[in-house]
Amino acid sequence: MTDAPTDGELVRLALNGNEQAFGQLVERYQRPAYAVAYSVTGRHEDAEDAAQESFLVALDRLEECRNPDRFGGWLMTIVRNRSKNLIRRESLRDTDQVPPGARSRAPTPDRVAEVLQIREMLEQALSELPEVQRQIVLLHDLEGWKHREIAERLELPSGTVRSHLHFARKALRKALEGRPGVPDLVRKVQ
Amino acid sequence: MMDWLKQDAAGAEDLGEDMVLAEALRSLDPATEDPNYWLRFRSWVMSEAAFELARRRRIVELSVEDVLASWSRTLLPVAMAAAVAAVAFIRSPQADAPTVVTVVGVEELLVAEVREETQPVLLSPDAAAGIVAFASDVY
Repeated sequence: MTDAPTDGELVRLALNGNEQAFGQLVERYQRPAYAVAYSVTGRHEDAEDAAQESFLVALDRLEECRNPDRFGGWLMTIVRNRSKNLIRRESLRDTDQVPPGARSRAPTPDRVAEVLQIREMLEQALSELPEVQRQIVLLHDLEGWKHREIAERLELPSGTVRSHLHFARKALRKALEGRPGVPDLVRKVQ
Repeated sequence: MMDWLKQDAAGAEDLGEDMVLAEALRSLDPATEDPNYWLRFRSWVMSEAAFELARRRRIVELSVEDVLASWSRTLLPVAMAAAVAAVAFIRSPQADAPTVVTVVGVEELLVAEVREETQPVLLSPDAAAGIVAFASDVY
């Protein structure tokens, strides 16, 4: 069994233009980058744009990543800043326009109504959380990051991460419990 | 009451997985509806990054000869221009003009602005007598 290369190793290779290494970094962080972007923008299309652009910005500025072994944290900072800039720009434009590259939401026969309903509820509930709590709950419960990883990559104390996660979960559960459709999901999961 | 949290034994490290919430949050994952979403996401990033990655590869692949050749392309004209400028300066009329040098001794320089010769008087062998005469005049 071979160990996966560390972020530091991949960054050093990517600095020399190694396509495979950069591809591995993208694969490793595309979901967390999207989750962080989504926690800031609250919209799929914006999150997608911000996350994708962040990888390109990171590649352009790879020399500025002083600690390649902490590439993840450095990238998340870029994602947050890009997302904030994006919503600042979006607020100046007509927000009804869907930017190019938005995913095609082809309806699937199963679960589509249920998923849409839950998503709407979650989007609403998430929008009521502070940004940092949104980031933490999405990274932990959607992307499967551990407290230690979140603390390290978002540069927050571990205790703060735990407490934010606790309050975010509490708020989300409260929001979901009171709405129709969710208990079915809960039963299905159990 | 439902136990939402699967807290670990220590209760201090990780809050553990919240299965229900995790399942609900999965509806926010774009791959829920589009299984190839992340593949396309990565492909888009890689195609946009291709130019920058190629640029970085070119820099690394440059040999020592390439670097010296690129330097010589810049350095040679600059050196030539500097040499021409130096020759022009040396041959200018200002450079040919004779330089007038005035020799001045160090002692002359030191006393040039001093009118009274106070120090030599005080340091002379008769200095003590002079002081006594001065004191007797005053008191």
